[in-house]
Amino acid sequence: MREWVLAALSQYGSPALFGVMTVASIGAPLPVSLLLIVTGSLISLGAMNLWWAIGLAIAGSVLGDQIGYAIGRWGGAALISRLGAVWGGSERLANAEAQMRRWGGLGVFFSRWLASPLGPWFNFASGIAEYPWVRFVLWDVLGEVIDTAICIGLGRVFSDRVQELDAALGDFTWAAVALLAAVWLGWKLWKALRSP
Amino acid sequence: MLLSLSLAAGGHSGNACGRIGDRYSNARLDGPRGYSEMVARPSNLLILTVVFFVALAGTIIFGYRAGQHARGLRWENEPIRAWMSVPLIAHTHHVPRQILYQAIGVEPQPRDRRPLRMIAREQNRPAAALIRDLENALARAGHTHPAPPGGKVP
Repeated sequence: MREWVLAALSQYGSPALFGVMTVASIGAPLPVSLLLIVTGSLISLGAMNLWWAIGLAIAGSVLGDQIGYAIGRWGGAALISRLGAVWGGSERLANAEAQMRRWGGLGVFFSRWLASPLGPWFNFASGIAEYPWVRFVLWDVLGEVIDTAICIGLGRVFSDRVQELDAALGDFTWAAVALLAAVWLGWKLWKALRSP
Repeated sequence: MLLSLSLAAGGHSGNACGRIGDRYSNARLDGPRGYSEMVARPSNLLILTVVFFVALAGTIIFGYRAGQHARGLRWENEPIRAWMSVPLIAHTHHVPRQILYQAIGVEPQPRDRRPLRMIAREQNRPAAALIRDLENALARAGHTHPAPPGGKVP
């Protein structure tokens, strides 16, 4: 799949970039970072136009994110009933939803670029929690602009090292996700140990 | 993910959820439970501790690997892949395109975007054979990969 996606980018350029970004943002496991880095490299080669590429990459990502949000908002009712049964009660689900409403904006923002593997989950969770759509769009667009600018910018700077750069960024992203999880779990643990 | 993580670890007990709690009327009701009561159970505490250390280990391992790859950026070790076009390969290896086109028997084109796998299909050859020809051409052109200290040599 990875080879096919990158070959499509090489051959068709910006339209392929738009399509892949849309599908990946819905939740398909596609190599988005490498795609954007290679896009930067192709721009430095003169094979793609900078502004078309940035515009279509952001548009594709935001479109995919909106689809994920819509699935959660209008298709998540059955799932949350099942989740309630699996995870142990309506109160805990409602608490989780309240937290999503409280922290959802930052979650959406950081899951666009710093913890990008979590992006599709946040789209879906935002929809289920009925996080206000306008705020979701604002955080979403802001995060996607940063993500696209970082990846394409790095791809242009290291245009002859795209695969090594992707490997570095991929591991950095997972390190960031693990660190966020460790901080959050450590905080929970500390609270639990302090409580009588 | 936030939703599921919150569920896994318990989440706060709060009164902000009365309205939205109605959405889960079909779910199994366990009755009210406090945060500390739920997390402070020995089994839950053990799970939380284990997951915390797993996350900590993940941070260290992935952070180390990211550092290793970042150091690799200083070295020319970009392998040739079937998704790459000839101009991109020429760019990543700093050689003229003509050398590579000549090596695979293709007429140079000004805006050639074809990936190697497409050229291979047109020539009825496996992409691996094309990649081998290109690597040989790079070696003949005097393009060698300097080996990083203790790193991989392509």
